[in-house]
Amino acid sequence: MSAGLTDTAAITPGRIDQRTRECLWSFGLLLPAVLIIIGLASLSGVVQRELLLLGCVNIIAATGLGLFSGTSGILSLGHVAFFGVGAYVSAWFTLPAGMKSFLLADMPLFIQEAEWSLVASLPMAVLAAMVVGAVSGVIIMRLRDTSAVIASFGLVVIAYLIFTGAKALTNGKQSLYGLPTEQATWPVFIGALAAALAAAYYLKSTRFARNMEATRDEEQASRSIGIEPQFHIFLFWTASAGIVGLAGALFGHVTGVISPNGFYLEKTFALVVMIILGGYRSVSGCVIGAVVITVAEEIFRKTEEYLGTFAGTELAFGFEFPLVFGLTAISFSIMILIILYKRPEGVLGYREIAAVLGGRFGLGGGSTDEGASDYRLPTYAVPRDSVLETTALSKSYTGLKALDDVSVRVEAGEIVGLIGPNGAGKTTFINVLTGSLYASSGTIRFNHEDGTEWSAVKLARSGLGRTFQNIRLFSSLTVLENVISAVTVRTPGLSRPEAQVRAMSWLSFLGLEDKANILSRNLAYGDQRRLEIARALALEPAFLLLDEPVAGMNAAETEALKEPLRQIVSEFGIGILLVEHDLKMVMQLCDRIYVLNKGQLIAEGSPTDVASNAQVVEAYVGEETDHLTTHA
Amino acid sequence: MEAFAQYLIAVLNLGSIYALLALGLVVVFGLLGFLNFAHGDLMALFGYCLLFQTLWGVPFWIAVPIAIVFAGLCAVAMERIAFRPLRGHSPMTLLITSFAISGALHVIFQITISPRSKPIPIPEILSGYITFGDVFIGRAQIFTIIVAVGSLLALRYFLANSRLGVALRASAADFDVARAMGIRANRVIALAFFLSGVLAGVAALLWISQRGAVFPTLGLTPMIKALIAAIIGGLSNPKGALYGGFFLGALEATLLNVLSDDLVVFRDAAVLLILVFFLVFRPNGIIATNPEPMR
Repeated sequence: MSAGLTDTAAITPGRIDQRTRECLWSFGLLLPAVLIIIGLASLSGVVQRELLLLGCVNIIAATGLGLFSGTSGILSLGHVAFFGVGAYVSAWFTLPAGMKSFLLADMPLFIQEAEWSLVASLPMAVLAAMVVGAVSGVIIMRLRDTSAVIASFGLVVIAYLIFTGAKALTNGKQSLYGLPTEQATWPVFIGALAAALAAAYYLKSTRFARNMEATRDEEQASRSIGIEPQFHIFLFWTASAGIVGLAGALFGHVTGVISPNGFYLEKTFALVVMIILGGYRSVSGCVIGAVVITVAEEIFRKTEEYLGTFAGTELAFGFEFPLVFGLTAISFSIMILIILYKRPEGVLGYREIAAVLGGRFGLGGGSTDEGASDYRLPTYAVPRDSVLETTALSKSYTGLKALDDVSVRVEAGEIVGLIGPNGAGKTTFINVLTGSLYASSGTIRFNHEDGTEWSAVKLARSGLGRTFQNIRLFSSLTVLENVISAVTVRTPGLSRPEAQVRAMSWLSFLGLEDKANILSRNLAYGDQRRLEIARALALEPAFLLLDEPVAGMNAAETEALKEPLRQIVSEFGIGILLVEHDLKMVMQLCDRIYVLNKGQLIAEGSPTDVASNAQVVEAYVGEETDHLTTHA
Repeated sequence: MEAFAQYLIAVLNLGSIYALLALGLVVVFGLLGFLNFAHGDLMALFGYCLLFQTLWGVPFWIAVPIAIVFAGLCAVAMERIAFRPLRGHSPMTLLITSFAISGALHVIFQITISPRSKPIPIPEILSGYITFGDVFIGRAQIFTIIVAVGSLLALRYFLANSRLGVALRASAADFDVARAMGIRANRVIALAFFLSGVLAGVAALLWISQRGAVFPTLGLTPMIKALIAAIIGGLSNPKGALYGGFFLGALEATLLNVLSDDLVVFRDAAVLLILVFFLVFRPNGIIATNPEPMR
């Protein structure tokens, strides 16, 4: 997939950053487009007003659902619950008191007497949906992938059972009717539509959305730059619940009747098909999907009504034409299947409308690259007494000591190598040090603080940057955004354009500034490795752990990496722990080297000392002999 | 004492049905890494197959094994038609696919058969009670426990001792290596789906024998509960399904005893709520894939 706008446009350190610009343009294009469609349809007189209002409702709901599902990558089946909560709560306040006295006779008096306008009830509906969202969000934020999807569906079922069972609140299956449909006016609906889209695009333009997308693409890497996944999932889940709740409140006032069955499977299918049709990773895609599905739903319903007139008539051989219903549901199911088979990314994929059009017409993109060479690295200095130190670190599994009594010390301003043959325990050491595994015994001290139990997020925020042996980039973000995500974690107070410029400086430091707008997954291999380093550096770490940074690089690329590494040590005083197979590189770069074999440190010292150490030579060369004797 | 015995029977009864369902989900999950949302509809397919056979006069005890095999074959067909074209896609895609299939099946049942509940005549022998002293035990409950335990033992024997069973376990442990060893992927996957269908069929038999009717969304509620229970138990291991299933059974039986009559409408909601809540503590299952918690 090409990167659209992001291929061609250049970065300007101007008034506005790329992400914000894209969101603003998308909002600016989408809202008028939707309004024009509604206006034309309304003027043509072919389309009923009610259908157009429902279209608005669908767009708002799809926007809300898409905001969560797109950024988090968790396709929620549960948002219909918020839709229902919004509908019921607004109905509590807007239903005429006379209706409530027999529909909701057990409600508290102030609700019984309330006869609010629809507009006044909307904040209550949104608030209620967000409260339910926050409560369920505490659970959802701990889950990923399949578990999260299943749990979200559990939420719909729970909500349905409660809507059905809690007659005092919802009048159960007898439904609530008599909602003031005359209050469903265009100003209210268009206002709500604009508000929902604005809220969604606002959130999408923030660093929180970037962080969430980073986590969606590569959770471990996002934690390694200090992004806390749970907070972001919670935030987007709750916010999207509010938007979908708004849609629910409006929905009730279009139809005038709300019943539990309206907030169950069929609605879930409708919402899901809306967001996957257009491509749920972009809000624009969700809006387009909502428009298409609103039309489709109407066609299906008309067809169903038409077919219904044949029900009971004999076709042939005594077979009666069946009563066709659920045609809408089955059509949605089949549409979901077709989309997933043919175009699982949806129409727009990851891209917002401005990016799609921008690629074609130069809309919404940046202009020229004025002042592009003016990138200066931040001036920061790691305190000279900074130390990263492990003491007698051990990690044992049943019957195996993967790490045994490993004490390593890295000071600010030095490059320390960690080498060892395959299976020496290097990876285990890294995993314990970077917060992926618990140590069995021993301590990790970080600037004289005990960091043995710190999480990866805490370590990152305390100044440990790292790269990964098998590259973990945020693949659907641009090169630039990969770095910005780390910049904003490090310095949340930076303005968006400032953060963008700082990220550009790190990119230009590693020679990637020309590729800033390419999607990171489209980078060449060596560039991906360098981007990982740039991203880790953007944390402005005190220590940098490089896990085989030149693996798979050719000689020239390896050579080109040495200078920047030396430079960050001399310029910022960063301490580097270099875990590497390329012995030549380690020997040339490192001040000191630790050698690990079979979980134990067998040597430490200057490159020359280590190279001449008999045990080291045996560990490396003797590996073969060992191998031969055991298998002889 | 009697109350406790009765409670225990209820736990075993409900637990074994849910365990069978969860096991069916896990068999497929172990191989393909996704939870089949349409698993519950295999229960309905079993039910309808049984219904039509009894309508055509096939004796119940002959119709049952046929319907179980039918459910297994339906599962294989489902994989062949719907999931195979998407093989290699993300688990999320497959999950949503199965969700869509489930929705489509509901409507197909509604239109072609009936949206309403259809009674299935259950043999005399499965109705009524047996008394041990003061303890009343439904015959259907005893039948359930015997059949469930029998199926679990048979499954265990199959997985441990038969060639195909070993192939299945090997593939679940590491599909790529298993294929490199010459195990045919399509066959093993078909086998896994057949097994999951059979397990759903047996679960449906037990479910229906206590309720005596079949309707389009028959499998939905038990399946969503079993899904969450399977996650709580741990998806990486069949034992996890058993733990999850019996945990769910115990939970439901307890709620039946505890909830007052006017709150009984909320039983399923409460069960689900508690299950979902449990996910907070066990997001990776009682038997976790990664035994080490995240730091």
